[in-house]
Amino acid sequence: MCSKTILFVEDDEDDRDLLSMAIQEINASAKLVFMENGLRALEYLNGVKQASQLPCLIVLDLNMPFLDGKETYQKIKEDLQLDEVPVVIFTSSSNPNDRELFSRQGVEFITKPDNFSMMNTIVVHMLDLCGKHPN
Amino acid sequence: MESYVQHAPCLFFVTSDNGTLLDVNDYLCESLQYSRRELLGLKPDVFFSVATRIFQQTHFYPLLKMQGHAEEIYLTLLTKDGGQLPVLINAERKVLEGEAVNLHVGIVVHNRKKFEDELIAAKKSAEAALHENSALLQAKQELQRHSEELDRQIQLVYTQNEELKQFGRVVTHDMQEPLRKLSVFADLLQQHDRSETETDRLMEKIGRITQQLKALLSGLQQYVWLTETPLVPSAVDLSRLLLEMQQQLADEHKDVQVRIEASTLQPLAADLKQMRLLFYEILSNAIRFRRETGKVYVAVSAETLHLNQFHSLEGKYKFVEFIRIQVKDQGIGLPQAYTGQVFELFKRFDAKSGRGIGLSLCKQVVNNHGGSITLESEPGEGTLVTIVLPLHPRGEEAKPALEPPQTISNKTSYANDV
Repeated sequence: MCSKTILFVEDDEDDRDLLSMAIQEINASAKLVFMENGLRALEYLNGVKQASQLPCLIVLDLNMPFLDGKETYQKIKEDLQLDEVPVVIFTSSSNPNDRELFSRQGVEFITKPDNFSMMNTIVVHMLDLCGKHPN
Repeated sequence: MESYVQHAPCLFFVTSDNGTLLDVNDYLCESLQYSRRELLGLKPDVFFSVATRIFQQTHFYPLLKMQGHAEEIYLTLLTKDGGQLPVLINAERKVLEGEAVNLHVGIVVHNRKKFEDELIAAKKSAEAALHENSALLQAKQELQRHSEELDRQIQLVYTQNEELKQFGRVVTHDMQEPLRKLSVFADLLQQHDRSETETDRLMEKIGRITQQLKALLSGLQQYVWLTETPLVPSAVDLSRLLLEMQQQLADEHKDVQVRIEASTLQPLAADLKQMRLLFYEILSNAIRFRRETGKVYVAVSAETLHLNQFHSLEGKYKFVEFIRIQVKDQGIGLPQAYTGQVFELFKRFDAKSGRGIGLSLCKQVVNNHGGSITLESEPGEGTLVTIVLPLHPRGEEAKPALEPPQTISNKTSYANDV
């Protein structure tokens, strides 16, 4: 169903940059699509779902303007087609309530790392999750 | 004539200077149930009550002897069978046939006593009612004061709870984010195989993030200052304040032509420093989110209205004077669905956004003053900020703190020339 495309929903330019660098570093063939908030991400997803070009993974930041990660996740769950795509939360939020909320729904909650080698490890893990729905 | 006096409806009696009864009329005898013979030669003490006797000896007769007459003396006489007869006596001392005599005329005043008693009772009950009423009024005022205080406290708890949630988000996200990024970029710098261009890029990033973190901390400091510093209300002349803002913003944005047009603005009792901050942030946003034209036009209008001072307590009303100030710009605007979030700490919607704290500071200022702030906007339609502030701070309604509204021309324009 999916191309080897990862949708990275992130409002922070530096984080988008870091992810690109990590992908480049491990020489992965995956394509990265960036959207700067949930609203733009849903627009993109609704566009590509018609053409059966859904990404293999959606990486969601939590704190974003207009539509945050939590709200975006709810919208994805409401759409049967979009719900097929595995979702990972990738955030700097260390709020235990957020972690609890997503782990209850079986969604992987990854805290943004504070060093680059960990970033590489996380990207390898993300590539591994591509197309594998946890449920 | 003498027989008329005998039967006239008044008590008439004559005493000698030593106090012996020389004559009494029939009406007196009938009223007191004595015969004339029984009384003559006796002292009037026989029909005086004890109190009357004392009064007669200490006041009545000394007065009569001294002044020769006494008028409207109220006495209680006793009938033979012990009944009481209230009378009003006029007396005169005369020398008749070489002998000093005291002539007394009395009229019975049953009703006067009754009226007097009724008057005293009415006065007492009126006094009691007045006292009770003022106690009731006082209690009512006290209750009102307590309700107002309770409402203020509930509002404070609500705002503080909101602040706490926001601070939670700031600590768990907004402060963590730049620190983490600094750590990652520093880590990348340490890797030896980075090209010079790459290193420069990373250094530039580190510099920028450090500045962001500094701005975030100074914004937070400003926010905490606003929550902790007590208000110093004074009469704030909004027209003058806008003129000052106009000049300040013109100095800060030399490339932008700023025009602020204000209708007649009534002065209000508020904290001048905080009002400056409020209008500075709102007007700065109008400049920051301007259209490409390089011209910024802001219209400021105001009107007074009566609104309920109570925010939280249901069924409580106290209508006080508020001023509603509307600041309308013609900038790029924002989707209406997100206008509620703009007042949250460090909420940024656009790359053009500043520190993400300006409108949080504005909200804090109006909260401090017991007012409210809302924002309406549509993309391409500009933004309308509505500020509602009480004309007088709470508890100071009675103080004549304000000068009368200034008479300035209906429309005042401030424009900087670029």
